[in-house]
Amino acid sequence: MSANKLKNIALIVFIFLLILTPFNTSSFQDNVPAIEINESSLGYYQSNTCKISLVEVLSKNISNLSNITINPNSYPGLECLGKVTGLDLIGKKFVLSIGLNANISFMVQSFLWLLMLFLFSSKRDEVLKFSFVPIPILSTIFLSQLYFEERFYRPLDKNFDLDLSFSNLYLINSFLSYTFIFLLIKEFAERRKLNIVYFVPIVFMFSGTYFSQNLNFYLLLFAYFGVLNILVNDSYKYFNYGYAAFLLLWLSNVNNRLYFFDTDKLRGFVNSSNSIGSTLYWAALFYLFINGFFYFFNEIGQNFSLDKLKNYFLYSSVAVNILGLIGASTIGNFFNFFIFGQTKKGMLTLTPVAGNTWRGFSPSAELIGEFYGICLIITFYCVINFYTTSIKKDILLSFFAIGGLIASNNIAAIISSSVIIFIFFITSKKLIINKKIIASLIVLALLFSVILVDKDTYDYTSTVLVNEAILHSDLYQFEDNYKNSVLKMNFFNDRDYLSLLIDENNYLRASSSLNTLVNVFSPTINIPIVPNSVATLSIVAVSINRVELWGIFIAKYNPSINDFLFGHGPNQITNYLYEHDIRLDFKEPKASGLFLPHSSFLDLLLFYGIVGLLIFFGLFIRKIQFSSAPHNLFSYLLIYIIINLAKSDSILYLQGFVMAVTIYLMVVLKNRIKI
Amino acid sequence: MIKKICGISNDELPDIGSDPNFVFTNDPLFDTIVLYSPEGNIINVNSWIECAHYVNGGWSNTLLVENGNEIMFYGLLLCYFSYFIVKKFVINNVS
Repeated sequence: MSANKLKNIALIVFIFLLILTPFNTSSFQDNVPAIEINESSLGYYQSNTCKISLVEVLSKNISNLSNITINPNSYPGLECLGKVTGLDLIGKKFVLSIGLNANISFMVQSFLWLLMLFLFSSKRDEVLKFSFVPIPILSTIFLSQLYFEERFYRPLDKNFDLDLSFSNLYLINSFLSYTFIFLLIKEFAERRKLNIVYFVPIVFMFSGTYFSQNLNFYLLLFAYFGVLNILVNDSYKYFNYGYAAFLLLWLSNVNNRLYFFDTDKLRGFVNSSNSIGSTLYWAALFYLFINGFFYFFNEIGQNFSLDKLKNYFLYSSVAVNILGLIGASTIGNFFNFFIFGQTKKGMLTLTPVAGNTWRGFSPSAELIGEFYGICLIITFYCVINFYTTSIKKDILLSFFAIGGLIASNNIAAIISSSVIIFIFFITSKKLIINKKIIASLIVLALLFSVILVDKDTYDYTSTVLVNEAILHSDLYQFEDNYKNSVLKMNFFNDRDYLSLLIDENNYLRASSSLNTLVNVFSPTINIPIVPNSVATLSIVAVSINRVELWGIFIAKYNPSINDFLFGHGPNQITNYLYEHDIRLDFKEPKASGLFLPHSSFLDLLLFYGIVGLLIFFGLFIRKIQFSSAPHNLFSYLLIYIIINLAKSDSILYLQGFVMAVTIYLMVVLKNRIKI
Repeated sequence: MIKKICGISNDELPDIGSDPNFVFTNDPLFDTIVLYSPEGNIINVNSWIECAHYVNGGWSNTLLVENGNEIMFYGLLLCYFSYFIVKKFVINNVS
């Protein structure tokens, strides 16, 4: 057997041991054995907590697994690591609670993801030497999150203790854990080279969210490389000054009322508080995160293989599909969650609604739809232009992406990726274009749009967004919300929104954005031909099915002038969610759901204000140029991303953010990279 | 374990499970025993059945001081030690 084979076997055995050891922490021979899980054993497992390990329970319930859901919880101490902490019967499913210490999971998950980094990186020609100094600084920054987001962390660990003393082992352990992982990242940085562009699809497989923490592995990784960028590379003067100015404005925008956001599916990449400390923490982290991108892009060599990028995308889409199917089983579902660092667990059934295999791997359908769309655009670009080594293999594997894209039901991604692939076809010199076919398609598209316009008349579509915002605003104060809605709708027919806001001083309870939009919609001077901007926005919202969600956004978004201009800081959505009271025109449980803005532009508006949003637009659009192939692929991808971000929250998720920034930086760097 | 903490009894432990309505009857002949939960909670039990039930649930007559943080601390020190050993004798020699 060759040395390489032995190495691989040893690595696989090590990974298995690393994953299974925390869950095999009890003796099979002790006086508290695992028994079959059924209604009569509920009391047994509830009485014998922290004594029976997960592996022991599973070994006794192999035939019974379909009735069991594994639910990890981090509150118990180390004595309950990997052991049963409770069993409940909810509906027809037995929910098996397993203790999983946050510190141990942090270490185990970090080891796993560092191994993954080693596998997807290449060896440096020469070993570099970096200073140890950033390690304690970065560890302190990450440790400060425990203080600034105390409300998130306190209920998750019974040992949680913020006393600054040498006897506080909880804090010392947390600090030592961060330091140790940064030591390993330093080793990685000195010896290995990571091509961030190839790595984008891998991020969709390994989400990297730590169990029971509002932290993501890639934040640690990028923050370390961000510090290196500041120390090693030329500083980005304008970016630094601009960021510092924004930081001061964000801190001045922090209000006195503290809110808490449980992070939901945004865990790991969102601020759970709105305090000065947490705003400062996320601003610092984000600064380092962006600098991490700069470092990685400075390191991209001149040679870049489009074929390799396509392969990474295709293999990732296959892996997400297959692992998602494995995740439909009890064991696969739990270990997918733990190993890949999912924000929420994946599907457990194969029913049509829950049965999208991406669940868990991606926090939203829109995001995974965008991922599959990009995978298909790159694949077909390579196939059409012969930048591939195996067309048959590509076509075969692309069916996984096509299936995933259809299952995600992301119509915008389906249409925009299809249009871009169609453009590739007709612009390909190797294809003879039938002009009659193109003309027929254009006529069909025009007819289709006429039918749409006929169906939803201008009068209706131009007002529907404001109507929706008013319906979700807490205006009239009757206890029965139906009465409030009827009163509001009385004003809709005449579009007399100004009177509605004046009635019973409703304008005082309406958000500042609703008040502004109504004023813009009801101008004192009407200029003919020029369309009203609110009406136009409403038509756009109707055409992309965003009326309800953007209506809720307008009802909720209540910024001061400063908030509107400069926002609240990176990943700070708490103010938006809780600052302004609204009354959703839904029944429970829908009314208490999480309603995100559903447009990354609106997310950017919340974070960086209109000034920041305009800067982003300027930066993005300025760089779109259709240079000669193959570089123009990235310009098309950038257009695709911008179109899709307009109606999705993908920028709120780390994978979506990494994908958008990487594509943008590839467009910026097109002259430096030889494809 | 039950015999060791609660003593010997002819009573049989009924299937209490997680019945919230179950009421333990005091046994005047049973000397009250103090039990501690793994989390450090304290309870006085006044019958053999009550005692056996709690012991089954992981309670004990000795206060178990949970030393998970200490174990973790020494575990981390071991990680650092291993790292420096591997770095000095393996990685540096390879590169």
